[in-house]
Amino acid sequence: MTNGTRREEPEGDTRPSTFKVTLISVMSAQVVALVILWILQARYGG
Amino acid sequence: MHWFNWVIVAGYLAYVVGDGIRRSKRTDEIEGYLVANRSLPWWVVGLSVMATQLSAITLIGTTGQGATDGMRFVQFYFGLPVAMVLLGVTLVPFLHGSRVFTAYEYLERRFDAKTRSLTSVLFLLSRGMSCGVIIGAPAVVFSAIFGLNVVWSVALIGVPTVVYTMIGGVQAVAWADVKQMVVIVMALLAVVVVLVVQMPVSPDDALRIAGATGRMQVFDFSIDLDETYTFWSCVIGGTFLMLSYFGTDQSQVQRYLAAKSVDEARSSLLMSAYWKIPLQALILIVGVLVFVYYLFQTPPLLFNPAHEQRVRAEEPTAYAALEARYAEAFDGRERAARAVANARASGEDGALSSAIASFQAREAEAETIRFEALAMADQATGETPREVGDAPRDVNYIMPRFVLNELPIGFVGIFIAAIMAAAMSSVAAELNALSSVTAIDLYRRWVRPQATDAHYLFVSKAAAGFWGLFACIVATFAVSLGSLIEVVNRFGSFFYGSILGVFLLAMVPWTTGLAGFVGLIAGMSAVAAVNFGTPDVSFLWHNVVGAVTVVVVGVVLSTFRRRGGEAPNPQS
Repeated sequence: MTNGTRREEPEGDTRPSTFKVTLISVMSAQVVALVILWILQARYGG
Repeated sequence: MHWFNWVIVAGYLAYVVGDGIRRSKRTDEIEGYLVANRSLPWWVVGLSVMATQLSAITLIGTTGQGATDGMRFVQFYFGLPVAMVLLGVTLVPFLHGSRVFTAYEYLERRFDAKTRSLTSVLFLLSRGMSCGVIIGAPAVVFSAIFGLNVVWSVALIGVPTVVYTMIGGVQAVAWADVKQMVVIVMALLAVVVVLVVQMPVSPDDALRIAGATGRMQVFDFSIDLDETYTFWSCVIGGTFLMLSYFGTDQSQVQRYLAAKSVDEARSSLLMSAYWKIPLQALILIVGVLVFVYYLFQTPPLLFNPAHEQRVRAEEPTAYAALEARYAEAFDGRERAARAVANARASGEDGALSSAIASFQAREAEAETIRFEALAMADQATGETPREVGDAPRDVNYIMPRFVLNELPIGFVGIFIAAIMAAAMSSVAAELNALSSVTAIDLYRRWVRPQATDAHYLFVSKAAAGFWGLFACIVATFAVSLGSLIEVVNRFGSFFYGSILGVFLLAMVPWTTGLAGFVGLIAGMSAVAAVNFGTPDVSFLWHNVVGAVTVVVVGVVLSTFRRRGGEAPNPQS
């Protein structure tokens, strides 16, 4: 067992730059999805 | 149902079970059985994650929701992409990197045995019950639609799932999920094609007509804590819920623990981040198109055939009169819907507005008659009468009735197989997770810590069988006690956010085991207080309350103890 102050060493790349790229790509995809839904609502919703 | 459709369903079931048994060849050790020797590629894990989350309730309930309420429910998934990114950089590397079998095992390494055991027991209680509900919900629909005994319906879904899960472990479950996901998406696309081909108006007109009833309204920006699905509750509360579900629920964690590496585990979660919202939108659009289809094709007054039969037997005259009124209202509504399409084609704004207003009036009239029919069904079955604005009780029957009555032979079999695939993929993942937690977090931790690998493998398989049997028994009761489903869901929401809070607390370096345990109790108490004190507040906010309380209490307590000069985490 580990000491409470020690954390497990994560594998893989968790550098902030990688996170930023992932975040930007996923959020871009979400923005596209939201815009499409917004267009659907604007065209047909009212 | 035509015999050819039954052949498709039987063939599908035989294939899934056979393939599961074939996959069991490389699972003769506990590492292979529980985490597939950490060897699965990202796309298999990703599809398995999506299949686990997409249950039969989603396939029949959400399409029904699309037909009655429209696209609004898609907001529920708005928090998912950001939750996946956050998990990819926080919990996934820690859980995968620490080479654990279960998420709760990590809590003992970080905190102590009692925090691990409490979260494990809460998981077993909640997931054991919900596993029964996941089987019970489609079983009750099958029972009503096909006239099968409930026990047979439960067995039809439960037995094959238990067999391939027990024998093949996570490997069989994950690969079966891949095929099940393909069947589900194919079935949905096939329904869209059939709807578009058979509809007497163009898809553009169909969506315009649906929009006139508010069904194409996606976003609700109101700030109302009592409203379950608003943009804000879904983005904020939904993010916490998704973090909790994908980050701490063993049925999901076990998927990505089986991935080849941290990067593959992360990529598997991103598949959901990219595809979940489009998939849910597709499911809801199918429901919306079914609603439009039934504007031109007479729908049943009550979609639940068992209720329809009962009301017809108990109040034949009153129900026949209601059906006659409904037929008249249907004719008027159909004419009004065609008028909307024609007015659009003419391009005159004034004509379109007046056609839409007329259609809305006719739709309200038809809905009033259906409300009366549903009230008759409630009375006949002894259910509490629903209030105006409540979802109709037969919402889960809309899609199956449409499939059986309107789809061509062969398509029906594919869709019924897809409903079973959706149920089986979710149940298999739950059974897999329940057996892991029972064998690793309880049996190996407390009963026999030093047994052989073969012994733990046997215990895991036995636990999968036990939980499968338990779930089937719960399912048969859930069918007769409708409110049990709500009780199970509410019970789960009591501690979902709090468990997430404990995992978040584990990432704060100076927090102690005692702080984690006390924080968990405090989080659950806070959620209980909110739930009983203000019962109208949407359950999505419970996740925020639970997680934030655990973190705040845990950090404050740890800081206080540290200032008091006590060593952190004495038990570790």
